Amino acid sequence: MAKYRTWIVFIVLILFIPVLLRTLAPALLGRAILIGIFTILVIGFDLAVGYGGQINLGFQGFFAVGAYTTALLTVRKGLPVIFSEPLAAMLSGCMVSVVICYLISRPVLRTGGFFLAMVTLAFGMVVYTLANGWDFLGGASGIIGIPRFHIGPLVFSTDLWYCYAVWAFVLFSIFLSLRMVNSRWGIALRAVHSDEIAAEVTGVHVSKYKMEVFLISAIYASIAGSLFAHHLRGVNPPMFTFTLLLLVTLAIFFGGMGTIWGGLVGAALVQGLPEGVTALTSYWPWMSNTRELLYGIIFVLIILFMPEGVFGRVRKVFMESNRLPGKNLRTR
Amino acid sequence: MDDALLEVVNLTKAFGGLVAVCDLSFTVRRGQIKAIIGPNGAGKTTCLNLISGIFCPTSGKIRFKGKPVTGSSAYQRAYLGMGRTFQNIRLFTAGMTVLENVVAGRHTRTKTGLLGVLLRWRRASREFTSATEKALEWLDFVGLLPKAHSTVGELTFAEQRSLELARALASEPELLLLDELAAGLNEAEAEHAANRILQIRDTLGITICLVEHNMNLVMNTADEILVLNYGQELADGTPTEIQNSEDVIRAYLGEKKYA
Repeated sequence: MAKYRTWIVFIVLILFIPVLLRTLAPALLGRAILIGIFTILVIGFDLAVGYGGQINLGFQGFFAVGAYTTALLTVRKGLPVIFSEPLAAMLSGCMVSVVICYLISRPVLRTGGFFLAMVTLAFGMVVYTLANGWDFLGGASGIIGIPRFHIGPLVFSTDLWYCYAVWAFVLFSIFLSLRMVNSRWGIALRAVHSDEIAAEVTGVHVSKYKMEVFLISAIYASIAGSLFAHHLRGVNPPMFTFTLLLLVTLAIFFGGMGTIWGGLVGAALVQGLPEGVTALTSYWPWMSNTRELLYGIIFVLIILFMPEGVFGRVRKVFMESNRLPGKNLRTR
Repeated sequence: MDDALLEVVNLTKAFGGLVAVCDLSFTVRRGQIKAIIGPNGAGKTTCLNLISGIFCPTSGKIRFKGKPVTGSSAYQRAYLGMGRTFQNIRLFTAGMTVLENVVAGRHTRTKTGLLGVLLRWRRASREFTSATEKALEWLDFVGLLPKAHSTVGELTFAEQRSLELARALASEPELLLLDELAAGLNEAEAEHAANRILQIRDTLGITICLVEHNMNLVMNTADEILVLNYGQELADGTPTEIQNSEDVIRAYLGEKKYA
């Protein structure tokens, strides 16, 4: 039972918080959905950057690929009707992301570092420019009219239901990520992050591991993008600017690099903050437009006092008290 | 020779104009402890890097267990049964514990890849647990069991060397390449290291090829010594032969009157 304690608490929270929000503050349901979507995005980024050590400056591009694939397949007619199913569209988005990710990272992952940063940065820019300038993708005004998320005849017709759907995805992605990092694969991945030569000599096929984690992170971003498209019922280019990447990076620092639950903490902090500022503004009007300032202050405070992030700190304290040989075999 | 585990034939490595290893040939036989010595810059570490696949040789051949491995990459050689340590310790530090370092060392002895983790979790998990148990055994072997959950930064220098050894041993290699295991260790620690080398060969049956500056350690452990100077073989023989070789004494220790 103790083994599943975290999960039970988490599931209970997921079940009750949306209901609570709907009765007490319905306006915050949208924020809860955003936090969920953002969590998936942050965890995907953390897998590549925090665990794998592979920088990806075009991460928001894969978010866009997911969102636009969903938008095109669910809005435009002409393809077999099965493709306009949200789940099928989401899956297609993942496939497109995987193919693109493979093509752009294949030549540079081997060298990594600076080249990888440059190529992924270029990818993010190309995606933005394409979305802005190509009429097929709706140009600057984007694509609107995306239906509500549904699975066959089952429509998630209110924000409350969609909130549950999104958090089901969050639950699933946290679950899978924890499995991935708590395995031989995860250990080898962190070995690659730490020292590629030592990892290679230990028997790790370094370039294969880098590619795998890159593809996985692209899939996470793509799924988050699809969910986001259904949430806003439309997509447009300003959603996928470099600012999004900065927020994701910020969330990783807040929550703790190389921690899965930290992704959730960081996402909640980054996406919850604007709501907090808005709430405070009604008491102190001068607080409006201080969001960026607050991000900055919190960022500096966290770097100063918790360089390992909020969750990273919690885990460290927890692990200190658990140090017995043979005990606590699970590492994350 | 039938019992040759590692054969190096006419190996040459040039970095631009600098020839670090020149036309080197030698053999390491099964169950042997072979030491490679030589003055600074003689090409000893380059030689190990060529054997373990970190560098690609300019020319020449390497055969491991009778199979040519000259063109295969380092991880493939690890799968074939090579393990090594580094002169300037290269442990996995990115938030990884001592235990996790050794679990990483079990990589070649375990199988689950990404798909295995996602689709066959039960098996992956069982494999991971047994890898962890094995890793604890190896930590016990080098005496680091009490520190299993420490981070690498909390270890002393000597402990870090032991940990690197445990990581290499965890893959249960047939050939263990040790790059200056005793560098930076004090007299007592170096003697302990020498005993451990003998123990690894005698009880685990692992063939060892070591690069070393500590002459006591070399003379006490090695069955055969290869002396390098400017990337070329100066002598190859038993410790007694090497100690009495005029060439070696002149090149390695200086002129006889100063020796």
